[in-house]
Amino acid sequence: MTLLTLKSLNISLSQRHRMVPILRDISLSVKKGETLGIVGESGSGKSMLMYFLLGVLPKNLELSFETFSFNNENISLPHSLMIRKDMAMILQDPKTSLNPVMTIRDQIKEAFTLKGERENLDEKVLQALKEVSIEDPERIAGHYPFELSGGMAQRVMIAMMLALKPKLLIADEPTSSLDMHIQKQILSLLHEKARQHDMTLVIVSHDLPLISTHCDRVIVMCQGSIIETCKAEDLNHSTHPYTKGLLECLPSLHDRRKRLPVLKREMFHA
Amino acid sequence: MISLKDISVIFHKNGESFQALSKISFHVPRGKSFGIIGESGSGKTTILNVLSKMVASTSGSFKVLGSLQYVFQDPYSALHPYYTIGKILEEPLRIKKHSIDKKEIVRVLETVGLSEDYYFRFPHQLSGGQRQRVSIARALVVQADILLLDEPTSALDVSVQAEILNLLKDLQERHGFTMILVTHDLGVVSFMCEEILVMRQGSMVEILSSEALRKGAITQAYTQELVDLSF
Repeated sequence: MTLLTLKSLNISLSQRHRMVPILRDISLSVKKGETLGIVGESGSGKSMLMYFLLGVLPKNLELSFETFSFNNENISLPHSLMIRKDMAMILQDPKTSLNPVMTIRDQIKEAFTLKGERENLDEKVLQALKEVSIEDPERIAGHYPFELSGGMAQRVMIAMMLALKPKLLIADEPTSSLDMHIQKQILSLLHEKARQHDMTLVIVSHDLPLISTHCDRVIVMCQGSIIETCKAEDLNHSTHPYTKGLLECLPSLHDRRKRLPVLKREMFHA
Repeated sequence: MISLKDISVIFHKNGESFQALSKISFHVPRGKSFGIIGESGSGKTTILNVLSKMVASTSGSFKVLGSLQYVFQDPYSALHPYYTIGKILEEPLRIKKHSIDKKEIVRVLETVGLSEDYYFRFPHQLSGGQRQRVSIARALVVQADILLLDEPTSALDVSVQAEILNLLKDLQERHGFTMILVTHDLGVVSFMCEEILVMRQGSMVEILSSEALRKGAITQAYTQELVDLSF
């Protein structure tokens, strides 16, 4: 079953009386229960596309699309600029996405209140923290974000987003500020929760090995366009020159190269 | 040349003490690259802070022959936002009371792949990769003998990472400086360094050559764990 369909999305920004395209002719669909990966360099439009899906784009952009539907509902152009219910997002740096002057308890409470829940909030907060494998929820709930490690803060962020009970959870570089041990833990936590709560995941990252091991399907973006869509296990054997370039410039443990090949970006100018 | 012998660091906070480093010893000859790998909190950065005398060691001794320059992880916060690139590059010269020669600074900019146009730009007008090039240029203007690199590419795209790593290798060949590279990426460290120190909870797990790492000649279970984790 398809959860989200988008056809021919174009976004551009008018800058000094000139239109600068940001996203060009983007079409994609997300199936219920799958994990979709989106890869590409910075500036390729990954995050812009996610902001569009969430309905949090800045208002000064020119946008058009043929069709956009989410959760069996067609969304019109004016509605596409409003925050989507049933969709949530976690960001790269958990410390800056949490409110620095609120305790963890109050922030998660706020998320529950947004969902219209009023009762037993303290109990629910502790339960939510327990759910993301935080062993001492009582202590963590009383902390402020600066007192948490990066991995712990990202868990809190996930707990908060789960409180919103989204159908689609977008994780924008969820682990790139974390070290490898914690990276693995956070990704398996995301997968586990997605399964438990019947939630579909979209993971955005510039880390190709990570995407290919943790997703079902992958979209490769370059300069505002989707240049390739493939199964995750096929990503490593991609024949597209851009995807190949991204893979080849990764240093690996078994590398004997003296220099790393670099992308010749001029090749991909649309 | 850098040499550490039994360096320990103990931090005191609120009456409690925390052993950040215990008995760290290693030796890096001039012109070599030495990698330090480990999880967050394993003491990697503390070693750099001891070398640059930002943290005093509690016991042990160390020797550093030559001048040090730092290149930080986050290129967005490492450069003064109100200074032009030119002024950023002049600053270490001013601090060290060297004479300032714009031509020389432009030449250094060019060696890191930035044109003269960047002299009057501000950091916010540069991409992450370009800012990291400026950070490296800042180390080159004072002809640092030793570069302390703290996760220099982990905030960058893989494609930009490749450019920066190649640049560091080329510059090292040309200028012969020593590099201490802290990272959590095994691929990066084995590509860049001849020798690698594995750290865990403030202690040394082992020092091994990147050749040994590649061949799988690993003696410690923890190192193997790190290798298995890196996909």
